[in-house]
Amino acid sequence: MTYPPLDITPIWERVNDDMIEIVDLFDDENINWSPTPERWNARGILLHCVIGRFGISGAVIQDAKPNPDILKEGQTKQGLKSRLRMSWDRLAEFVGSAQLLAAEYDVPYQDKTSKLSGHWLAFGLLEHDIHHRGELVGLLDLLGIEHAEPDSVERRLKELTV
Amino acid sequence: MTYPPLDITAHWSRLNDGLIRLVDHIPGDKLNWSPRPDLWNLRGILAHVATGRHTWMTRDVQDGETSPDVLRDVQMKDDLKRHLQASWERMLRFLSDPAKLATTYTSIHEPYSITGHWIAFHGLEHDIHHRADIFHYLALLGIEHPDVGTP
Repeated sequence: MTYPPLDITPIWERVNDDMIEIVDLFDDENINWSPTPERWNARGILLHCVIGRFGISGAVIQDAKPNPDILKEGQTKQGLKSRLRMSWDRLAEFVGSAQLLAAEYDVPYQDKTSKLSGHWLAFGLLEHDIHHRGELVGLLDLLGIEHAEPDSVERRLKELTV
Repeated sequence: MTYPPLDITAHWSRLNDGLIRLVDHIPGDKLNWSPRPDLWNLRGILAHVATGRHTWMTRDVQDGETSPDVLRDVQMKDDLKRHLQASWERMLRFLSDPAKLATTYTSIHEPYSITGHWIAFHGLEHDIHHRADIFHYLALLGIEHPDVGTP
């Protein structure tokens, strides 16, 4: 079955704004905290989000742009925020192009390579962002740190009331 | 910047299938578990996903369908799975209709309005966010769970 396409990317962009704001809710100590030793801490989750975006852009979409040294540059909160912005800007070029979205890509996954459409890839990237923002919010909850509701529509409506 | 629309609803549908399968990973005696007293438990999160979908369809889209009393009816895991499926099917009727997606809705947001596409985004964001809650809780409980991504 086919469904109408969804005009949602401008709101997705706000998830990245949320993640950038969330960085500042952690201090330099608890950004390295995780509830159990085998779980990622907030810094690790944020680095993973940035690496995922750059990795897909370079290795799968093959946009021919160089990847920064994310692990080195993401060691400070300022560095993390800057890399979140930069990786979103790179992704925006992909999700902003109807031609790139309509193309098919080879995606390596668990010893196999599958062909996925750009739309499918975009869904995976969106899912990745929202999932890991949810994890960050979960860590904030466990630390007892107050945070805004992770709700992009509510966020937009609040902006309109200012 | 303007962006082309995304053809992703079929993938979202599979995400719902994964969410339903995730219920089976929760031990029956952990449905009421949460890591802190002030945080929702697993049953509450899953019921909230289903009620959230019904609320948007009733309150904002005003699709004319009746919302079931989900909170009263989720005693067993099978009840949760049934309500997740039924609420998804209701969302899908909305997501399948280009006219409803293109409509501007006001309802509780007056004087501001949001399009059906925004409502769709919110629904997807809500599903993924609360699925992350479930994964987070299962990990805290030391319970193995499937891969996070949607196949």
